[in-house]
Amino acid sequence: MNLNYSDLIKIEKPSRYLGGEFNSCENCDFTKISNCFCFPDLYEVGMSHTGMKILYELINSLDSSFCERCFAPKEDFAQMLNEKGLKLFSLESHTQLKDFDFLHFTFQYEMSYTNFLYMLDLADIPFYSKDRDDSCPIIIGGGPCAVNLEPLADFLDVIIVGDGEEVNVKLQSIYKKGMSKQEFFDKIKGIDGVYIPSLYEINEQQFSIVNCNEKIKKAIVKNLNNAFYLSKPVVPNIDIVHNRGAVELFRGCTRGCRFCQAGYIYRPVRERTIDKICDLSSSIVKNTGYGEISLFSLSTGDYSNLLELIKKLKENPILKNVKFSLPSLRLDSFKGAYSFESKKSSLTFAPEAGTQRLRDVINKNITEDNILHSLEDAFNANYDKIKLYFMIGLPTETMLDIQGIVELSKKIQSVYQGIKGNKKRPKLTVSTSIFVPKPFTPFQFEKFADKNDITMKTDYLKKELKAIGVNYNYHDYDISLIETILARGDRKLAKVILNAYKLGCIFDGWTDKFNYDKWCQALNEIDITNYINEIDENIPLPWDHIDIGVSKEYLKNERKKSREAQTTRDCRQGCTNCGLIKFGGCGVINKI
Amino acid sequence: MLLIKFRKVGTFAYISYLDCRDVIIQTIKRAGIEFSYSQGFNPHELVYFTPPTSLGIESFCEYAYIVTDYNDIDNFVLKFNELSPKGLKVDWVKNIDKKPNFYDLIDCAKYIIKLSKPLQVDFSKIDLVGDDLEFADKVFNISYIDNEIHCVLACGQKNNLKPSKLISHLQTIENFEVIKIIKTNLYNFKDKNNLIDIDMLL
Repeated sequence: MNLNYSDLIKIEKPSRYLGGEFNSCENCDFTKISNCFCFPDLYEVGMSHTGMKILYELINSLDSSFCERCFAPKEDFAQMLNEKGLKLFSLESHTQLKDFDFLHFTFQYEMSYTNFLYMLDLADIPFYSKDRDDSCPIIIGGGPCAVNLEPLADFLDVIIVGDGEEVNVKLQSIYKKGMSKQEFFDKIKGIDGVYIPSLYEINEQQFSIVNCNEKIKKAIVKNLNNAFYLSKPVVPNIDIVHNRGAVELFRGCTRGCRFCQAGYIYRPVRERTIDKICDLSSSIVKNTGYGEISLFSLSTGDYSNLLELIKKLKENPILKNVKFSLPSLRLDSFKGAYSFESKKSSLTFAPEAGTQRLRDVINKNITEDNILHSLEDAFNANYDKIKLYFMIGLPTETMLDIQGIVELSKKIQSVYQGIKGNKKRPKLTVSTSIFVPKPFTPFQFEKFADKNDITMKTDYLKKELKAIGVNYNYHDYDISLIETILARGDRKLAKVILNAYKLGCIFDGWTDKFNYDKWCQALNEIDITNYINEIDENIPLPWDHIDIGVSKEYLKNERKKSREAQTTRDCRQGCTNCGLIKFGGCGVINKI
Repeated sequence: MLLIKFRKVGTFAYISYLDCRDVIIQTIKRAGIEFSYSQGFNPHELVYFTPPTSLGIESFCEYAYIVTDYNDIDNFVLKFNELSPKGLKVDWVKNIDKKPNFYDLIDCAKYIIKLSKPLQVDFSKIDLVGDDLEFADKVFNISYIDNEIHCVLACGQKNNLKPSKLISHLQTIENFEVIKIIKTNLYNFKDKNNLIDIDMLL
């Protein structure tokens, strides 16, 4: 690295780019298979991502491979690289990205797509996979967006769909130094979870895949308890978004909320045992010095034996001064969980919709009684800061549902006053996001809401919630619109994303950086109505060649039920025939 | 109670004062050494540091005082250095009884500023001391050796001069790039010819 004091001192937080953290890889031997895990956002965001840490530690545990890291740099650093004629480099050995065998990009959210191109550009790597010869690294995409990465398909060599732990090890064992890309692709095609976009042809009218004889099955780690999990995570030297240890209690969710992509693509539910979670928590605390562990999952309150787990963790002498946090608690399943907290801080819940009818439409499966009783318990336990998340623009939504948000807030205030006295109010914050239809959900076919409709609803909430003393935050419409286009996108969007990047769009997930006008300019060439209007259930979808295990018929049927406000039970209470049993088994059923 | 002398070198020089404090606490926790905590609503570890070194400056003269019942000093050095991130190392540890007042003890620090090229202008002829009022009582000593500037600058609560300020001033006379800045010693000021390394006083 040819950067000295005079260069680095001009940069905001230079340590973002320099590595040297405890537990980071020190043995970067380029005679081994070299990997760089690239996160298309800032260091502070990327280093808070547990998936990256798992794969990083996993690859570094292999004898013949090693893995480094790289994050999207801020503009000041990018400008300095350009001025000095330097290329984007890894944190550990400060090697330019071009010189690695594999670059692994994770796509956690659609608004990071331009940052992927930004990183390739700074690394001086051609954007399109067809323009990259064998001297360029093999570029792999993964993460939740991998279930429909068609908008980036022309740029990526390989897409890994599903759980990355086992398939990445397979890929590392198959690859040999100096192997041509073609030879490698020939050897890995057909492995569950491996999608090589260049091998598929596109129907130019509908932009769906035509030559797909067999769907690409997502990779599933069947036994999560025995799967690799991190025990020596890299400890950042600077503060990051989530600066704590993290243990995943289980993967998947049985609730079946109809808007939630994670609820479908991560099926089936696979839990870790209490002993395993205690062991992992102890090793992380010993190996990092962290004083806080987050016990995370898609719905932590649904862990089979949460109270027993809390008891065991509290008994463990290594964990005696450790604070545990339980994110993603549902309103109907958090009872007792807050006994963990030593201090009374705020609680966050997501009723998602204001009326029972709409909660039934989206299959949230919580009642107003659940909400009010849970909050009563919380108020009795001296919590007085409550954050509530709702979505607006949901299918079948009317103004009555929006009024329902205000009514619910009033009822929560009454519950609080019933406990604390008439003159007191809880610190209540309502946040609304805009419903974005995502692939592989029953709502994948739905229309994205109109701007006028959303503006009217947010204006109403602003006025009414202010009148009753409730704080109100809401999401930007334009970002959600672009997110919808990218989420349900096809290969036509490759050009659009590249244009947007060339026009200067980067860090689109950051509201202060997002530039809607430039995106509109980039979208000029295509008809966006195809991406935001309701999609005909009978036409092929750009992601139809991917098989996540849940059948399209099931999703259609769920959509039909939503129109009648009919709920579907949690599949822990009995199989709902989503298709996973045929796909290769569903542990949830065996367990119950 | 322990007094430690540590260094932050290489890329670790770009870790800020507060972040460095957190990293040291975490490293000690990894070593299984227990701290004493402050009393109050938000108990925190009782650790006190010498005044901050500016970001990007490598330092061989950082000190911290740690309130703990742990007293195995040899093991402390061994464990800390095994479990610390790259660029952060402890040089020595002492058992002490009384909390040293770093801010009272420290008056100035010695820096070596490594430059990208030898200077053309003869800096020795520029009378910095006294020439610029801002620097008059803050530059204790300055000399030029090959590609390096060696200087002793005010450091601490009473009077302080960041090397970057001196560099900016010199760059108005001749442009140069700085490769690195190293802080080598902290001194107590008796008189101009009598600077005592605080190692001797702790």
